[in-house]
Amino acid sequence: MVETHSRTDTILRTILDRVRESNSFLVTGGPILLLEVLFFLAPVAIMFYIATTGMESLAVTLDFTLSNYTAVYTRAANRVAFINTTLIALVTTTTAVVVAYPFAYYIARFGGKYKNVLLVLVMIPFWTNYIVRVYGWQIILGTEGVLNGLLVSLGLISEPIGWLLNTKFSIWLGLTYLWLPFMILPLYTSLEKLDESLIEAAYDLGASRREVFKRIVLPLSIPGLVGGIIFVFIFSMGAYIVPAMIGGGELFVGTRIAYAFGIGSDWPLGAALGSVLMLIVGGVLWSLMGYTDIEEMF
Amino acid sequence: MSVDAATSDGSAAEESAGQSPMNTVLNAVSGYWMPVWAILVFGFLYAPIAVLILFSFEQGTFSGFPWDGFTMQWYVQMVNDDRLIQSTLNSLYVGAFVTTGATILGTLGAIALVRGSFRRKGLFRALVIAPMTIPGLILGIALLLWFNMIGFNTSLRTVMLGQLVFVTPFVLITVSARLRGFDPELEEAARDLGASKWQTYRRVTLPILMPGIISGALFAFTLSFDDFLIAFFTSGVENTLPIYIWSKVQHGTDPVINAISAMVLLFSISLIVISELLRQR
Repeated sequence: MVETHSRTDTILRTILDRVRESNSFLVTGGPILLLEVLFFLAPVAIMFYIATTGMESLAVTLDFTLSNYTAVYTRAANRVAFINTTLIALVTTTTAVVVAYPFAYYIARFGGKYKNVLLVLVMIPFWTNYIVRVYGWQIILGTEGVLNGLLVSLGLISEPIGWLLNTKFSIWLGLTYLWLPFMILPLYTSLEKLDESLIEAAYDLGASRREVFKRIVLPLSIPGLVGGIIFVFIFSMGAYIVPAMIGGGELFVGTRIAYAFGIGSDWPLGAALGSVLMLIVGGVLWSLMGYTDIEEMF
Repeated sequence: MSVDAATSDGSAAEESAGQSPMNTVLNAVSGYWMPVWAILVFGFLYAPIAVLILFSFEQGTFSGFPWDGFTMQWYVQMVNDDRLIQSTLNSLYVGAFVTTGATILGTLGAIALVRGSFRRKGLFRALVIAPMTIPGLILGIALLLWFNMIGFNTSLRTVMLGQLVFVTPFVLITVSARLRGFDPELEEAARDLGASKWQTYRRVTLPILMPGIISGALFAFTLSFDDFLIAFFTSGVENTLPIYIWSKVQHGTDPVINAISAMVLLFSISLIVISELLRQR
């Protein structure tokens, strides 16, 4: 018993000594690298490849074709879906910035001893099941839903508002709701680090509030702002739950992809849609990543 | 209503009128609009959560006003739903595996990222962080195509593999933040005082990293437990809890969903609160 213990101890010691050596990368970084190469890089590469194949009688044939990629543009439903999705993602990102910035600024600068509690209150919706929360909006926004019921009973409107649910409006609202914490948290992290004395010094030197914001607060919050923009835009582009649950029949990239893999059973077309989406996501990451540090955000 | 708009109004008034009554009013507005805004944002974030919990106790089968009376029957129905219990057990089973795997791989990866010195570190960083920035939908279909191609039958096991891909980076980030904040001189001091590498690791490094590792593990579990998209495309015929909720939601509104939602929320909330308490320690 004692012997086995000391033996495992020796083995552990050897492993840990290896970890300490500078060429120990294979032990520490190796496993995660293997995981991401095998089940992240390879699947994404395969998606681009499958998009160039055909499908016959529910089986993927390996004949090379570009018709799926061209179908992303030539088929009106796909084209409209991409236009809708991009526009809604842009509006959602803008809304999230406008809503989150003052909120994050207020908590970061005036939260005082309640900062951490307020932050946890932001985190709670962020980490709870999103299907459940979107379902909550379904109950609120319906024609006979909570909001319409409340407004009618208060006498503010005589007839229920029909465009609250299953429209572009509800997709925009749902996406803003879902991704808002992704904007708040990085912004907060940036603004919290901001040195108060810089602002005071600027005021002492005669700067106006507008100048203080433009020349001190805004530039120093760029990493958080860009981080938030990256996440909100990318996740809005790739959203599926919101358009599927509260988006009615509005054409959206996510629902087109899921359709191709489901009832539509056209995997290569779905893969092509996914590939184009992936290129957009990659492009956004590539062009904006330099302005932020994802590791610092959470 | 951005900060820019509000402050520009204020400064314009300052420049033209100095300490005029107009300026006082604007100051009052700009002094109070932010706390009001903060309350509105919190209201927005919690509206659907509050509605779900409220209507899980309502008698009528339709979730809306007027209020029909208090009941616990949806919770009773929930507890007697065998498929719900089974899918919850599946989710817990998957979550346990994903949490263990992601915590080990993520912690090791964090050590490599923060302490390692090797060529192409930038590439390594990009590769281990990218999976958390990719929409779940893309990862889900890519994994479905990949598993199909290499001949893996989709089941709860493929769900575990798929979730590991995007959950591990979150653990890595949480632990590396902790690792970066800790002074390597503490380890050196322990070594100088005669501790072996193993002792240093067990008595100094691990205890300092532990809060980061535990909060990373709790995040990992929450992410796995809440994941729908990866599981949706790679679970085959088996259900996890989010898939079961999804299939129920597809069949229209049902007060039992409210009860399930309330329980799921309560569960996630307690995990997050524990995790945050550990993180801020």
